[in-house]
Amino acid sequence: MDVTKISDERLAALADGELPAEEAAALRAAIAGDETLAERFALFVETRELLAPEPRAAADAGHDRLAAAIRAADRPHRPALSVVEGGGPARPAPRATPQPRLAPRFRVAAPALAACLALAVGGLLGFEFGRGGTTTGSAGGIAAVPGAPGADVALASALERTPSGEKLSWTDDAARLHGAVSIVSTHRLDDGRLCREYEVSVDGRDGGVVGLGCRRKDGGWLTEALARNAGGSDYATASGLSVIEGAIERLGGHGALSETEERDLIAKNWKALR
Amino acid sequence: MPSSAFAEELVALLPRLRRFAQSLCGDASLADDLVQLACERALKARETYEDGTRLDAWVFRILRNAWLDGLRKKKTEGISEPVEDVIGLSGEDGRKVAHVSIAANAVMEAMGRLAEDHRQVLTLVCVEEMSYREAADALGAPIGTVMSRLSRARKALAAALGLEEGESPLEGADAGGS
Repeated sequence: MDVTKISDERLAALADGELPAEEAAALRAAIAGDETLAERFALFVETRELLAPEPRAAADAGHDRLAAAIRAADRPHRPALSVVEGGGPARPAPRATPQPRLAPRFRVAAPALAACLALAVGGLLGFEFGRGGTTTGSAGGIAAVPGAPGADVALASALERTPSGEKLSWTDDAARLHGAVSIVSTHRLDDGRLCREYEVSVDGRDGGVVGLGCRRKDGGWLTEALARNAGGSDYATASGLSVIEGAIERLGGHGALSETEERDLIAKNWKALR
Repeated sequence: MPSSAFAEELVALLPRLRRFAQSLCGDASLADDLVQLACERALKARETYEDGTRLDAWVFRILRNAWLDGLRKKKTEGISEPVEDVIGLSGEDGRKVAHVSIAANAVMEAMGRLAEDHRQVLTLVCVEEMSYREAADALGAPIGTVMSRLSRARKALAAALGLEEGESPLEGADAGGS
């Protein structure tokens, strides 16, 4: 598509929801690949929204999640525990409020959504994303240990191969850090997805990270929820785990899979009957 | 701890921010990520917001810039970089945040200065939320006329509001080639 030939009328029509789905998708793909076109398009969206009346949409889980994130980010300082939730409303906190960390939900996007792809799955820490069914996925675009991609490599590998209850150690020479990844449990959600609860620790540091990685259809793992337990705080270290357990429950999990079932899944490279 | 009035104003804007983001990128849940990022940046930059101007316009521009930022980053650097660098979780170091301030009544004033046929079509489609077909029927004009007027009217409105300066969040930063 020659982007210079895309008319203002078509861009405005896309902003106004007047284009047929197929044409809209093609145009969005062109916009994702051309900054000038994206700016031209944004102008039509922006002018519409400045004039538009308040939407009548009812508040939903997404709204609640965002509202919680805004209020949390509004606080002058961050508590030691921060949380990324993979979706759904923020859970009421037991005592100290876990702060929803301002990170997007990590999810797989269809190619037509490329315009937003960079935001949602931007970094896969050196791994190719969703191409050619590679089995070395990553933990889903979030740095378990910021600045130490070695931890993420180990995490991706542990999610793929390590039975629950076992540890895999990692080192990151560049960051001069080392630690371990352990898998806590494996779950099958109502929607058929297979998810694994994990912990990542850094030697010499308290706390660490607990998370929930879910197997993507095209291979690799996506972190759906993450909680950080920083040491030296008055938060119970168990709080991170309880956040993850809450996330599993909310996503539709019902208790961990048996050792046999898990071994079977690992042996079959997670090609479960869905 | 109660959240600030500013944060509560952002929360009140959420339905519109979400609709705006969804129009930009075409997917509801990805749009929410964009809204979250924009709100984070808005909170960080709150001292640059001028009281008495339209907060919605100010946050829309931050959101739009975040979106363009993501597109450009993706294009120049591909997807093999830490997520924090791409989506700016760790702050906007080196990144220029482009702001707009639009006085509370500026949009209506600018509308008032537009040509009559431009104002009409903008009102029908953007304010009254009519479809192109309905607007064409209401105006007794062919749909093609509605479309060309509508796009010209919006460019005129954007120019009147100073939205067309091509501000870009990575301007002056190490954006690389484009």
